[in-house]
Formats: sequence, C-alpha cells, structure tokens
Amino acid sequence: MTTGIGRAGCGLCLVLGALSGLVTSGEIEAQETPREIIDRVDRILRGESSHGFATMEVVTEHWERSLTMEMWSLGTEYSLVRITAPRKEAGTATLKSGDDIWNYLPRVDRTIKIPASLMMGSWMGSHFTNDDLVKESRLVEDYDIEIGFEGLREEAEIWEFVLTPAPEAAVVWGRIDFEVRKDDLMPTWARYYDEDGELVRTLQYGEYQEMGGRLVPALMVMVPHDKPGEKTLVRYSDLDFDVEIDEGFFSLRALQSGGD
Amino acid sequence: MERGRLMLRLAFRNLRRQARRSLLTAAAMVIGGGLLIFSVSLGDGTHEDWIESGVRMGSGHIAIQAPEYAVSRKIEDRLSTQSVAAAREGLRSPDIAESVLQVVPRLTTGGLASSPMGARPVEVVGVDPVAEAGFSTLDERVVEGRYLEPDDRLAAYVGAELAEGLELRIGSRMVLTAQDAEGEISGQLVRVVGIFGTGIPEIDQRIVHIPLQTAGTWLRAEGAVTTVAVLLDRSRAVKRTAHHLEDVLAAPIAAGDLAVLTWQEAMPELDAIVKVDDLGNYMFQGITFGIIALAIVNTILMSVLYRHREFGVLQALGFTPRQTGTLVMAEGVVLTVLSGLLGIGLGLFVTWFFWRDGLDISFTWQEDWTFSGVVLDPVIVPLFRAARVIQGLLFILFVGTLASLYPAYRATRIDVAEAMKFER
Repeated sequence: MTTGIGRAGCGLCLVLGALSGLVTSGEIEAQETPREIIDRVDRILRGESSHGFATMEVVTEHWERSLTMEMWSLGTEYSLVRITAPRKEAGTATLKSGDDIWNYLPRVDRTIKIPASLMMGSWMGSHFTNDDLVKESRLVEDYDIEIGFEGLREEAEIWEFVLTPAPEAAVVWGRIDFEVRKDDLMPTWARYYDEDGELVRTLQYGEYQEMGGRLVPALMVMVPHDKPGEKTLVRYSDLDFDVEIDEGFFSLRALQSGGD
Repeated sequence: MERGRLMLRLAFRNLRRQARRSLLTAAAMVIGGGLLIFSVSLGDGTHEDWIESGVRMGSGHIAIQAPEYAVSRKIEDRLSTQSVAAAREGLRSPDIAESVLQVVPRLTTGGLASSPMGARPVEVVGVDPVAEAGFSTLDERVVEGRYLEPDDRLAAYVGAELAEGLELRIGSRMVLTAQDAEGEISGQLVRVVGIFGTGIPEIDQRIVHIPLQTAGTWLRAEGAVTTVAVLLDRSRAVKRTAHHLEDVLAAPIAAGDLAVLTWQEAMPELDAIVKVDDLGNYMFQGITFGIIALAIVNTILMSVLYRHREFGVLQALGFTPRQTGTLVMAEGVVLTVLSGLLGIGLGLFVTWFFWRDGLDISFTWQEDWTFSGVVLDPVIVPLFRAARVIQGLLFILFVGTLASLYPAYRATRIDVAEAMKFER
C-alpha cells in the first residue's frame, strides 16, 4: 500500500526493500490503473525486509552536516535506523513501529517516544519530517491518483501521476506530481504543491544502480523551495533485500542495544 | 458604665476645646481614610476585571474536569458523557443556577497544526460555537473571516501569528495532528474560516478552535470533554457556588469521575498576581497610615505635654494615673474613629461621584497591557464592598488606638506635685 512518494519523506524507508516477486516492465499491462502501477513501483522499491547503509547530507542556510547510518526494515510497519558516524552522533537510533516513532539517545541513555507535537519536526535536522516516516503507508488511502501525462519526456517513456488528496484526507498537500520511468519502473521525481498550486518541495531521484540484485535509485535529494540553497541528500552505499529478520528485531530493546 | 460615659464626655470636651489642633489631626485621618477607600475599591475593580478576562480566556470561574486532568493535561483524563451530563444536571440545581451565566463544554488537546509551509505546536480546543461565543472573548477578536458557526464541521478559527507562520488564509487547508483517546496519532483536515488577533503572542500562536463534534470524532472521544467551564455573574460567588456544586456532585466526585476547580485552582498564576497586587496595595496603605499614625502620636503627645498642669489638677482631684491614661486614649480613639468615618464616607462619595463609570488610565500606557495571557482593560471601574468598608474602619481604629498608646502612657507618668509646681 505504500508508494515511493510516501516515503519521499522517509528517504530511508524508500529503498529499504525490494519485492518478493520481481516485476519486470514487460508484465505491466496497459489497462492497469494508476493505483496498481504505483503499487508495483512501490513493491519494487520495498521487499519483505531489507538491510542497508547510507549517508545523509543536510545543507541549511546556517550549517551543514553529514551522517552515516545503518538501516533495517520489515514490511511497511517496521524500520530501524542507527547513526554510525560521526562519532558524536553514533548510536543515536530511530525505531518506527506502526504509527509510532521512538528515538534513542545514547549519550543520555534515554528512549523518547516522539509525541504528536513533534511529528512534523525535522528528522535528525534534515528536511524530512518524523511524519514522513510514519505517514508513508497512508498515501494510497489519502490520495486519488490519475495519470497526468504519459509518453516520451527527456528521451524516456514516462508516466506522470497526479495525486490529489481525497476530500477529507488529513494531508497538507494540495497536489503531488510523481514521475516514473516506464521501462524500469524507476521514480525520477516527486513534486509537492500547496493548494494554490505553488511548488513547496521536490524530491529528486538519481544514480540508479544495482544493489542487492535490484535496480534502485541510490540517491535522493529533497529540496524545500521556500528555503533557497537548502537541501537534504540521501545516498545508499549498500543494500540487501529479503534478509532474515522478524518483528522481534524491531523492539525497544533492540533500539537501545544497537540492533546486534 | 457611668465612668465610661464621663470619660467620653471629657474626651469630646477636650477635643472641642482644642478645635484647631483636633481638626488638623483629623484632616490627616480623613485624607488617609478617603485614599484607603479609593485605592481599595479601584484595586478590587481592577482585580475583578483581571479575573473576568482571565476566566473568559481560560476555564471559567469554575471548571469541572477529571481529577487528573489539571496535572496531566491529557485527553486520557477526560470527562465521560455521563459525567458531563451529571455536571450539567448539577449546574441546573436551584442554588447554583441563579449565579451561572454560561456553561461551555470543551475538548482540549495539545497537538500540531501543519500546512505545506511547516508545522507549529498548538492547543486545539473543540468548542460548542454558540455557547463559546457567549463565554469567550475570542470570537470578538476576528481579524479576518468569522467565528465558528453551529453547522461548521471541518472549520478552524486560528490565531493571527499561527496563520502567518503557516501561511494560512481563509479557506486554507490545515492538518491537525494529535494523540487520540486511544493513544494513536491521528490527523484531521480542517479549513480556516476565521483568524483572530488578541495581541497576546501565546494565544495568537497557539490557540485553535474547532467544532466540538469534529474534535470528538477526530480524537475518538465522542460526547466526552476535558473541561466543562462555568461562567458566573460575579467572581465573589465562586466560593459559595463551588461548595454547593461539590455537595450536589458528591457522588461522582467520590467515585473519582470529576473534580470541581475554582479559577484560583485552575489558574494559580492569575490568583497569585491578584494576591501580589493586593499585597502591594496593603503595603502602600500600611506606609500611608504609618505616617498618619506618627502625626497622630505627635499631636496627642503634644497635647498631653501641653496639658501637664491640667492632668496634674485632675489627678490632685482624685483621677488615678490609669484614668488619666484612659482619658488620653479615649481622646485619640474618638478623634480617629470620627475622622476615619468621615474619610471613608468622603472616599466613597468622591470615588462614586467621579469615577463610578470607570477611571480611564489608558493615557499612562504605551499599548495594550497583558498579564499572563490576560488583556487588561485601561478603564478601571471601582468595586464597592461592605466588607472593605468594615475592614477599613477596623484598620483605622487599630491605627488610632496604637497611636494613642504612647501619649496615654506618658499621661500616666505625670508627677502631680511637679506638675502643679509651675505655671506653664
């Protein structure tokens, strides 16, 4: 039920997965609904479970930082992210279980459940929010999906999906546009608009390459348009799909112990 | 009895004999008494105004909540539909209903308001639009749009600073996120129908009003509220009404279903401010009367020393030193009580005559004055209370007695032989 865009927010979850049954472009039928296509895209990018490493670079007006992290995921419900570098932040971990997020801070040895009031707060100082991590799985429920454009663009056959929120869906966006390449089902970008049709942020995908036997976009860049010059970059360095982990792995104890 | 009357007659006669001195001393007391009443009634009027604005912005003169809510401020500690019904029933009982102006149910929770431009922590208040408009002053602070109306569902009334921060306009979509009654995080889409500005940052940034129904559905707490806020016709009825209410609601209170809080308990900051301000007034009056007391000591003592020979004669004729002292005391007390009464009467009259409709002190202020989230009215309407007049009289009597003590003591120490020896 998740889509790449949903996880737009959670750059992390996005690549945290491959699918159980590999789908090739050839299998996509023309009469498929946009919803089914997005579901397929999603399943390519998400497996039953995954394990990987990534670096995140955050550039803001006042500072820049770079974090290295290790990640695990299981289905849409569970994920665990642990910072491995720089040393100052090492051990800091985030656990997502269902709709809840916990943060573990090793320096004070405390686990904090992120309260509702912080859900839209930034995750690790990046341009992704805690809410992006949780809400991801609601995207298909919250939006009506249509194909806005289908055909050749920049020398590739693409679909451009237009997602408009269902009448009473609890989402802030007025519209999301999402482009997917037809031949390999790779997402290229997602654009988030407010209700006046003004572009608020863009998620750009890139550096498509094989990882763990799948073609995935190894790079994601989130650009908030109201803050010129700022961006958050997530680059995956290693990914494995369908690894041996179960729900017990995503416990608060694992959050504190380092997941090993 | 006979002797007491004699003492009083002597005291009156002595005061009359030295009319100019008596009048001068009395003048100090009259002014003091007048000032006392003026400042006390204005102070009480100011406080009534603070309390009024405070309780209208806050949880009313009396708030009925779940016992734990005051501390936890969480939706888990809410009033069930039955408790709300019981509370409403209690408020309709005869002794209580007469003081009750307005009753509003509220479902309040801390949460997050987000728009494409970001997110801000807010306090979301689910309200009954009609009742709330008669209770809160917030609906009168519309800057743009309108207040909530009974048919509204996905509507929100937000503060100007929140609207600015999230770039909201009338009709903008806004998502409220909070923990619901079952502990799940849940979101609610609302559209801005009105923007208010109170000038108080903490209110303009934080408060969001949405219809109670919407809040109930969103937070999975239909029919429940966190607070039943009660507005009374005057703040002095609070204690009595709260006691009555506690009696009427004894059963649910004993069962731990609800608690009755007065505004002093629900808003201890406001109570503290009123008390601190009162203390300031008392200190000011203490100093004024300290000075007045010194003047009285001075005049009475002078009169005692001046009438050295007179007291000597009195004692030679059979007055005991104790009686001499009592006479001096009587003079002092009679003088202060008379002038005190006159002063209080004058104070009441002047305050009532010139400022009964309010004293506008806005010219001393640069801009709006706020105190812990309460907008202050620059027009002070004095509040007259019988208890204050009696307090003032007792206070004046106390000062008069205290000021007469030393001169009276001096009068008892007169050596009769020495006093008669020389013509002074």
